[in-house]
Amino acid sequence: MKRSDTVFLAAWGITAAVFAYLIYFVFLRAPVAQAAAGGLTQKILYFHAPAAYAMYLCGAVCLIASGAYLYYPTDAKNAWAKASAECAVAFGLMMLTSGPLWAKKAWGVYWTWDPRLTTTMLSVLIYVAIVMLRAFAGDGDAERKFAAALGVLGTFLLPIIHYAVQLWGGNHPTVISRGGGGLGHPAMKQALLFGFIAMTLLAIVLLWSRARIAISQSRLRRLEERAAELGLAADF
Amino acid sequence: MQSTSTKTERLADDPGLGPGLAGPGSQPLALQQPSPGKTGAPSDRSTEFVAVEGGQETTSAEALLVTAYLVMWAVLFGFLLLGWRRQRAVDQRVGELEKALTKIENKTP
Repeated sequence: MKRSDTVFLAAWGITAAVFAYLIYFVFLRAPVAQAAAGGLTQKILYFHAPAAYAMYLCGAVCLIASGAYLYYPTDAKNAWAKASAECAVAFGLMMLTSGPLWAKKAWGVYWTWDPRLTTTMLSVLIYVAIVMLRAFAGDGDAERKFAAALGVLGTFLLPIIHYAVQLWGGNHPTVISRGGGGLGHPAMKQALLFGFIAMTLLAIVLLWSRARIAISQSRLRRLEERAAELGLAADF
Repeated sequence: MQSTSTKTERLADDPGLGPGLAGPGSQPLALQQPSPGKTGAPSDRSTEFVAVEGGQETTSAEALLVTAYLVMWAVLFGFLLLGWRRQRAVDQRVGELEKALTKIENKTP
């Protein structure tokens, strides 16, 4: 086994161990919040907010990789841009599915057209559009550039989401952002901190996994081009 | 079909509605009792719904919490499974092509 594979597997092992501890801490150590915040369902926060943060992280990687690809295209930059858009969709789905279930208890409805919720959904839809474009429009240079441009533009929506509550108000709580009251118990703060650590690690290993796949796909594309030059049958 | 104004007058007289339509001094929706006129006859059941005091909560916090975690893990494992399958397919194809290309290049003088 190559050294990079060993490091990759070790990273997955560490991430799994941190998640196991997070689950234990959230369910057995963190206290239940007040009924107005959803009571027991408030524990969704320890995955929901870190998933949102992980989406921002993947969005930032998408912005950097896509911008770098537009400036000077390489397979590696394209691989990271592709991987980060896919991971942003995964974390966005985690956030968009867990949030409404918490909202049902705290607000009485699964969904409301609150500014933060609406902008978040739009942002996830932009990343879904990038993934769909790459999946169905082929892997040519023009398609790669178009997807990279969309990746740069999509990421500019992320700061708007983050500051949506402060700019336009709405139902979404501002507990852990600027002006919020914070978490009222040390174990709640620790649970959220472990959540952020676990999701950061998960974002790193997922990005790494997806980038490896995208690099392999680029390598396959080059081999297919070489095979075509040598007259190897296309259906080989 | 009733006209809008007739319908509104009927709604305003009905104690089963909230303060907005029932007029000042009326009770909130959740605290009102069904009016004595509501007999539970089939005609009442099919024309309107009336709130009762102390209605049971239907959304369990435990169920919502467990559902949220299950859905999140399902998204994650689905994403991992798709990635693993894609990686395996690409690796297999790369291996086949490399073998074929090496064979051709060795034959070429």
